[in-house]
Amino acid sequence: MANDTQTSQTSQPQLFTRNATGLVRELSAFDAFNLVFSAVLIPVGITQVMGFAPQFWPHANMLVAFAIATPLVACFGLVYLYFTALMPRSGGDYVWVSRTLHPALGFIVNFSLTFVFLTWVAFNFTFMLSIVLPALGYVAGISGKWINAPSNGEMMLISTLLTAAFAGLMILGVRSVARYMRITFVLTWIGMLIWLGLMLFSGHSDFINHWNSTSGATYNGVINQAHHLGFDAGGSIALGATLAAMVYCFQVYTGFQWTGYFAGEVKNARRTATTSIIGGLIAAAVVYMLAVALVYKYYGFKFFGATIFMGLGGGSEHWHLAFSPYLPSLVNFLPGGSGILGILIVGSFLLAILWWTPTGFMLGTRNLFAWSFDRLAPTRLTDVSDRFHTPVIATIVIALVIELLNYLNIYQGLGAFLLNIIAVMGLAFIVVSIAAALMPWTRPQMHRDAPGWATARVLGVPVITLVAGVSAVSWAFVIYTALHTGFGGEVGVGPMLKAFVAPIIAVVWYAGVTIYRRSQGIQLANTFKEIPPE
Amino acid sequence: MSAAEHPLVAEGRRLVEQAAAAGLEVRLFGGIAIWLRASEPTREALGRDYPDIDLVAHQKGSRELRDLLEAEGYEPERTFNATHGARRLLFHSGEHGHQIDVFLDEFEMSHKLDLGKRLDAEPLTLPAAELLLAKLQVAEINRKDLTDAAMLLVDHEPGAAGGTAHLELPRLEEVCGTDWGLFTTFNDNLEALDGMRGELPLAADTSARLGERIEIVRGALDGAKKTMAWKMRAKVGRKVRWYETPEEVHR
Repeated sequence: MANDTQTSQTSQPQLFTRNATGLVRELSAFDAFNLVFSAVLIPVGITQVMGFAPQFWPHANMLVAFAIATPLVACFGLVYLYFTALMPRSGGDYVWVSRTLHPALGFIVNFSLTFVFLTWVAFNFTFMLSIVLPALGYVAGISGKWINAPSNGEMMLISTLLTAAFAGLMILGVRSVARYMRITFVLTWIGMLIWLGLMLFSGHSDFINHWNSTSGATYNGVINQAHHLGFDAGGSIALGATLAAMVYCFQVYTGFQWTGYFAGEVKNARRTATTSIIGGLIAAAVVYMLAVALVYKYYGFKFFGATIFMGLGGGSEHWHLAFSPYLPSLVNFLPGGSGILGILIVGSFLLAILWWTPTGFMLGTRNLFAWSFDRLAPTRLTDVSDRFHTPVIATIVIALVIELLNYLNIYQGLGAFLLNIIAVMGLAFIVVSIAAALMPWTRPQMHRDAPGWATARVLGVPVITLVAGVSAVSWAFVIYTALHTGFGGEVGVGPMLKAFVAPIIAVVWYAGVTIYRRSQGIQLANTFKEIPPE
Repeated sequence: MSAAEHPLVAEGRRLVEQAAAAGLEVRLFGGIAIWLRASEPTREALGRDYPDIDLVAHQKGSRELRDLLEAEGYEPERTFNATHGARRLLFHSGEHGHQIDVFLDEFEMSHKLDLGKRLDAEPLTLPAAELLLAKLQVAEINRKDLTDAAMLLVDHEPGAAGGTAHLELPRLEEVCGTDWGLFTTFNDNLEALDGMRGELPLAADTSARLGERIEIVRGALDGAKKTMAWKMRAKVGRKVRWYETPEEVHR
């Protein structure tokens, strides 16, 4: 147990018991929070939510969507908190599902999630170069093809350099990573707080004046043209559209529950998990809802929907302004937004991607370790370099996977399958939720050690089973929305096969390794009877 | 070698010798090191069961040490070593069920100690000063640690020099004089040890000797030169926590 000391009854002054030499783990409670909070990646999340949702559901109110989604996502977070408290092991859901449901299922789930989360690293590099960088150029008044519309070659080159640079940072060790992330956290959030503050303390009329004087179009002109082209964001909030748009909330919240993946390196992981997972969700919920409310307040619900429609949606053929109306570009129309302040704010949107990237790398390497421990991956992956004393081979493997994803994303349109990939993620989370729901029966002894809230019963049913049930149904809703609306990607056999390539590879991998290990005289089933060391 | 030598003491000694033969500077640390430095009567009075072997080595030679331990049949804790391998390694013996903890240059529990530069001071174990620092830096100390510290003080004369049967006071002064937190925990534990003297199975004269030596060490630390950082931290005092709480590694 994390609370590894207890008072001895026999002596004064107070003495404690401890069975072996203790360990001070590397990551503090703040570092753990910083890892998961960076994974939520609010600057990118808010840009995507406010850039994509109005295109598909003009009447959806994202503030309401976040408000409804948050308690559902909290149930999902409680599933991860429950498991992290019971089994704080590197590899997180891989260890939990493989030890409670079935080893193959644990591997397929974790392999798929690792794939999904590593695609985020690649997606975010591309997002940074194709959306945030042009916005920075616009706000800073810098023009040039490489900044406004970088070619695939330029994006690939910069993505490759970033991948290599972050691999280098990871090789320096987790202390260096934590230090880097503390610095980038501060810088990112200085800019974000200024952004929120400017929207909070300025009125909608300020925006109209700035827009009319500097955008090259008029406020009413945009709304009228969008209306003329068939777009209407007026009228009451459409509940159906708002509920459907929650799919974006689920997507952008994901990451807050990741503490379990790094639990082996987090100080007092059981206790820290509560502050980082619940703290991460609360912080994310507050900032997301505040940001959405302020965007609606400052830019206006109707205008915002119209400009997204005109700049990014069905009216984009008629959009002739010098920028795409993503939130970072719209910083230009805040008071002081076209000067140093604007550059600082948009710079923080860009820096956020560099802030979160090590988290993606760490997740990948720690999951590799967990597979390697169970002999599902070569043991060499856990080799520690003589020079750096860190797992260089695992880091390079993850860097190569990210580089492949960079290529697939930039040249092969991997991003087109984003929502199908969300379906993969949702399915994996349903399996984790089912594993948690069944724990009181599959691992009753372990369940008894769970936090009090999880073991408590409502109408005779353990609370963890209830919240895991809500979590599973919520993710089923996400899958349903992803597959039945087709709002962000093709739905069909071909695209689905591409999106589900990760679980398919995982099945083949697991079967192949099982046969190979058997030929070596190793029964993998025996490995999974043991829970890896903490 | 004592006839009553615990099997792990013998194993620890053997590993250090094997490492030396391979050109590696490795020293025993913790309870086994203290037992090895103790006199026969002290061993009989205060010796205990030793469930694991603690070693200290240089980070630079960790690869060779890992290879050596694996060649000796020890199983590495791979995930642990991959994530903590820059400063700590963990091995298990399938045969005896014991574990080997290897500290690479630095030791970090409630407080941090730089052990690397003291590795070549003595041939088999770390010097007595480091062993005492490691025992008494534990903020949430247990009876076992205090008994080990008593064992060390009973058989080591505090003074200016180190070496067999000597406790090098200048080293304690240097380390505690730069770190207020360590100084505080160390002093608290000396006081706890003094309070526990009567419970230890020691002859009256040995217990008195232990008491005198505790006083000598406390006096030396009180009179030691303190750095500016030490003085600044002292002004904050105990209002802010001054130690880490290490966790156990569960297997």
